[in-house]
Amino acid sequence: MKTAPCFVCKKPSVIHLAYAAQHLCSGCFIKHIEKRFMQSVREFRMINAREHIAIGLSGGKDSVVLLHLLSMLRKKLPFKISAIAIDEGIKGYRNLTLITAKKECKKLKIPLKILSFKKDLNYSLDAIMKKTNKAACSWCGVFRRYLLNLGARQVNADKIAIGHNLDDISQTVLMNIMRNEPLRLVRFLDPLTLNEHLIPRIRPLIRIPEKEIALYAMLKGLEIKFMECPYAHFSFRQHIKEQLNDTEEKYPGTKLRILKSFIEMEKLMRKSLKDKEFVFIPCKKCGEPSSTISCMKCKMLEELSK
Amino acid sequence: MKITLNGKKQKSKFKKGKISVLLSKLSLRTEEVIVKVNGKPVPEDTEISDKDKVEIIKVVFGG
Ligand SMILES: [Zn+2]
Ligand SMILES: [Zn+2]
Repeated sequence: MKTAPCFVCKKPSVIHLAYAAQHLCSGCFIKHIEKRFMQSVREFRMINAREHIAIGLSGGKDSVVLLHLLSMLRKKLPFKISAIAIDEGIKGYRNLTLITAKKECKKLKIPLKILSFKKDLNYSLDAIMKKTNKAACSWCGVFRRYLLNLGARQVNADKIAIGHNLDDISQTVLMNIMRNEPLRLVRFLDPLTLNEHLIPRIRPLIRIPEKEIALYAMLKGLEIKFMECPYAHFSFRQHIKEQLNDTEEKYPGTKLRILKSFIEMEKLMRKSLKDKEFVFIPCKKCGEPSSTISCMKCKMLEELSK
Repeated sequence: MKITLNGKKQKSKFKKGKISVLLSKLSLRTEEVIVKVNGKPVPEDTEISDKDKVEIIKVVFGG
């Protein structure tokens, strides 16, 4: 075997960052990831001293790495961390990643709260999929967002930290453009309207490609099962993801360039929307903030009860 | 050479060369896998031969 030396210290490299034309060894790569994380936390002022951050923890690689990075940051900046896990009820998948979630929280002494589709909404995702033909992700996305926000409110968190990585963000940007939903982009980095019932979200892994998160987890010895959600197939996101990974391979740096142009576009759009009012009204059924008379979560639950 | 893909052993006609070439022969994307050679993660431009123990792990999954 012949491996290129590390760009920084000449030790054998573990990865080639094609977008930066750099090979990095294990130690230098770990530093690189932690630097990227800190850079985003600072640039977007994601965390302030004495805040309470609730992390959405699935037990997959992204959220577990985020948990470790946040817990590391806590040594320099005093703030509180709670973890919130959502059990969608996906047999053979979520029950397994939740074992990791529990283990990691115990290791880092972080309190964990678990909310579940079955207990809190009456239907597990497995049960929903037996009832309907609609894609799993459309149910899952709405219900998970609702429960994560609810859980964060219950523990009195100031913010919710999400493990979204560079791949997730660049896919989302392309999807919103392709679906002609540009306003969704503006809400992404910061809410347009503050509402006491909606906890703001931060995404400290925004600059880190998914593969690098996996490698970081591996090098740090985190016991993570790399597995696929059984309902992931045939989604629009899946299609975009494959295309984007092909493009990144041919044209390294594509994902980072999408992120950068999104950040620029977001600033301009936000400016032009400044004077427009976006009001939330309480959902007539559950009281949660909504842009329509009854919220999406209640509409979907009603559809299921038919 | 013998390789392990997601924990399963299999044989490939690939004898020696860059990992990236092996990956494209297997229709795998470099952005979605980590390759370990002799137990350690390595970049895809690493040259390997059939003396090496090669393990490919898919780490990036669908939507
Ligand atoms: Zn180094
Ligand atoms: Zn409602």
